[in-house]
Amino acid sequence: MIRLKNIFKYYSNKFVKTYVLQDNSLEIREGEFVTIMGPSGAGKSTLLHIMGMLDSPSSGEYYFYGEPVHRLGEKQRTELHKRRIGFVFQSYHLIDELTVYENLETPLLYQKVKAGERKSMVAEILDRFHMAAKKDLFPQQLSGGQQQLAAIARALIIQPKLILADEPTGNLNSRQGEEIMQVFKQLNEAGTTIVQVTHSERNAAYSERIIHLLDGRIVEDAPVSLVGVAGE
Amino acid sequence: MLGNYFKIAIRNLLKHRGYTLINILGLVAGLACCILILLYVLDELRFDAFHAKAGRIFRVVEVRSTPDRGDQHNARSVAPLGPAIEAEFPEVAASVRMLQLFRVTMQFRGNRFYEGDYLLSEPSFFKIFDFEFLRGNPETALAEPRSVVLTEAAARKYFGEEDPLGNTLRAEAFGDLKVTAILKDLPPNSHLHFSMLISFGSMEHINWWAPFLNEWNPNYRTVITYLLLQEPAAAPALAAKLPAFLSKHRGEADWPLKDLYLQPLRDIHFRSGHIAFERNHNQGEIAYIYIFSAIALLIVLIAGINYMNLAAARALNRAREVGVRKVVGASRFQLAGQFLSESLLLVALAFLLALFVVELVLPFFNAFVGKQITLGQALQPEAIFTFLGLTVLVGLLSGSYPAFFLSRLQAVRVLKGGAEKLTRISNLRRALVVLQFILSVVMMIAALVVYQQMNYVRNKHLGFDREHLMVIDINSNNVRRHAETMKAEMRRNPAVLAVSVTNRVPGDWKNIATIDALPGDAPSSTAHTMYLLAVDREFVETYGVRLAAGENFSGRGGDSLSVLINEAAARALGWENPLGKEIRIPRADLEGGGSSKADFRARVIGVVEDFHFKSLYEKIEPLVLAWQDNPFDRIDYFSVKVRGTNLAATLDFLREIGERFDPDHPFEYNFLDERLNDFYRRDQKLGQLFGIAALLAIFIACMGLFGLAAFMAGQRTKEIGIRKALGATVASLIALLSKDFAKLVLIANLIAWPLAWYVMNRWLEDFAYRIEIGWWVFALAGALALLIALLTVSYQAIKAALANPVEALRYE
Repeated sequence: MIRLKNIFKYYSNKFVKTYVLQDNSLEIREGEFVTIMGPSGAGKSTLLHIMGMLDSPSSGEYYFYGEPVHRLGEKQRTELHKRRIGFVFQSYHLIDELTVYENLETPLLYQKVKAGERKSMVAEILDRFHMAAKKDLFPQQLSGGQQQLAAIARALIIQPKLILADEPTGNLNSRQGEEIMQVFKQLNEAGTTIVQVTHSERNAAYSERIIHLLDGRIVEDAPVSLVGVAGE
Repeated sequence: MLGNYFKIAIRNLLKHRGYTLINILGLVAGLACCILILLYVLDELRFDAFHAKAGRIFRVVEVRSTPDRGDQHNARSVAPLGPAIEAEFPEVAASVRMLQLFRVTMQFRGNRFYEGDYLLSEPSFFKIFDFEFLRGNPETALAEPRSVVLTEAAARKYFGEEDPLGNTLRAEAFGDLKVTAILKDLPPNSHLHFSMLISFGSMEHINWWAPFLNEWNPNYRTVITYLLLQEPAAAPALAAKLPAFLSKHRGEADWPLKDLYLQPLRDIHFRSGHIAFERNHNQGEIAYIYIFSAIALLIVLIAGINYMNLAAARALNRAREVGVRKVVGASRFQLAGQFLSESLLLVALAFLLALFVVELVLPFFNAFVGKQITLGQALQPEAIFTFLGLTVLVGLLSGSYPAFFLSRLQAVRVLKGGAEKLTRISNLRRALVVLQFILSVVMMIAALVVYQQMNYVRNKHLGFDREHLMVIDINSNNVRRHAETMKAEMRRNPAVLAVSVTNRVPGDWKNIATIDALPGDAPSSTAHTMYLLAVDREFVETYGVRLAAGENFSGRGGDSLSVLINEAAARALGWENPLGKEIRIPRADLEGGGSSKADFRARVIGVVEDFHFKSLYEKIEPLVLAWQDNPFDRIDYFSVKVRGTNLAATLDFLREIGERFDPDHPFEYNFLDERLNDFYRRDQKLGQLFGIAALLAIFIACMGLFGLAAFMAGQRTKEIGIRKALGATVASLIALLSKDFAKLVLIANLIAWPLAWYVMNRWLEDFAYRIEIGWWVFALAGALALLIALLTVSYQAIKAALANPVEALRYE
């Protein structure tokens, strides 16, 4: 599904080139649940953003379902990501001025889904996440866990093949975090590919494969059973 | 999708009420101003458009040329011209002549008035022009001699509740006129304006008029001729044939005709400033249309820039939304669409409010420009189209920058919280602020210069005393005959300081007779054109005109062989010492008291210092002051110098004398200084307009600046926090934050000054007598702009400087 070859990412100002990612190659197959771990500044988020086409590598090749993403223009990339990829962020990133219902509807608007269809799709996902009663509330009126649930619902509404989650439970208490991870688990079992970035060993335990990044390089890439999870 | 955009837009507007208010206020002010000006311009442009055949109607204009005065355009032609053209050229479908004559009294029973606002014309008038009939038949209304067509207002004035149709109106000089039709009151934007039309045939019984109606003599130019062509395109070809046609009819007389051309009807209102002897109600000036349109555009531009600046300042708040939308699949194009539709919504909202404001101020505006515009009637298709276009244009223009800027933000970076660094105040936005202040400063300087010049014009000593001079019209020969007696009676009142009789008064130069004059022994070809005032002995005293040499008229007989001249005339005639020299005025062919066709010769007994008998737009030209009893012109006015106190009583006293000697005519008077001020009314209004525009411009620009300052203060929160933590004083922080803006305003001034200097000098060139633009005008405008700008910025600066540094630094 995803194939990265010799990916570099650096920022340069007049005097120095700062490398965020250095020569990383990686393959992720459909249906996998992958965790990216590593200390702050290791380049985890950047790697995730590159996979999600929100950022482009400075050099290297990226194939998504065999498509050479690194050769596509911004418009084609948007087209690709908005139909296949859902994002979940640590700070939820719901639009404050829109209600839950409207937030969920937004991705469909950008895919030009017809009004009737939109309505039933939003209703369906609200049911699935037991949020129908909250649909007219604004994000600030929800608890953090509920906000993240809404954000996941928004990511799922386009029925993505791939979900990219950047510290999805970082702002939540442990009970809320547990819930979210359960949702991911179910999604993965239903066939959605998931890549998450996390510091939490507990969350990592939900996945099948852990990639360790250090100073911009992949230093370890192995199934969970081999790596083991500290504390369990 | 659009619904979603608007929802977001409205919620955003409500959430940030302060910004919304500033934004909408600025836009409303700009748009309201622009709508008003557009209403005015559209109204002007609709002049004479109500005639169905407007495109095919032309007015005949003659051009004469003399070495002294250059080309003179004249709307009057000889009377046989129109019918002859119609008969000889098949491309002319119809012609009509109009004759405007002196005022006469008209009367129905007890209702007697002066009527100057009438025209004589032919039945073809209604074939060519479309004035709405309430009653009567357009075909026959002017067919019979002594028929009259009244407007509704005139009918009411004379006949009150009675039925005018078939009744007669008794008119001095014409006899009894039969009312044959009633017209709806004329539309305000018609260059032809009259309260009644008298049939052309009514002149036929006045014998001495016969030559004026039948001869091709070029001196008998009496009528204004309009032609209706079969098609508008035929005009140039027809005009080319006219000179040959004219010389065929007039013979090869040595008159200085240069050209004859056809002026399109729709040009008459705007492009007739150079044409003499025309009839042109509410004459317009195309240059003013350009100036007004430019001001309207500038103000909208400033308001638009403002919106851009404020929107960009708000980018910080919107950046995260942009990021989220991009993540869930929005393309740049869709985001740009969102911001554009948002600004369109806001502009549309502002537009509706502006319409409301316009409705409120329209009465004042109408009084200011002398129009009767109403919103309801102004909203015709082209106006609606213009306004819609304007709204969309302003919306798109002001939305374009945020749309472009915000949609370009990179999702990843804004979501990480780096937006502050991404949205620096760009050079473009600095340039926009500079542009706003350039426009504001230029308008301020313009307003100041116009004000100064108007002040100069009002206070300049004209070479005569214009204060407390009452001018009383002479309306009958009885008064003319008894003028000396009346003068003596008037002077019996101690409040009357001096009385003079003249043919014209200073300021009335458009009607002052001109003559050719030359030294007694010089050949006629060297004649100079000069103005002629017919005066009495008291003229010099009444007007406070100073004698430079020689003496005044004696008042003891023999005066009619003497003249006074002004210094300009002495120069024109080449006389160092004019006293005792003989002046010759070749042919006395002007209408008036004398019938002598011999040359007029008189001796120069005195020279008066030059005084401004024309407006200050014009240089002082040569003037001959002849005795009141002369072969050229007859006396028409008393000028009465009165004491400034208890005017009402003096007025009653003078009225009694006037009515005693002329019981048939209403007593008419006015004050000379008021009449002189009328010359400058248009430029005075222009000055007021600049003043208002400058105020608006600076108001709107400051709102933009306010937003920008808020943005900048927000951006430098951390810097301010650190500086405060390190011990910076509040004052030094305010200075730090204000410095940037002061720099922008100073740059704007440096650009605005030469621009304003150039433009205002061009404007001043219209005046023969004008001020020099002082440096302090620039300094004042610049200082004002700077002061206002700093006051605006200081609010934000002080707020930022007083904030708790811990608050600022905690965000990191």
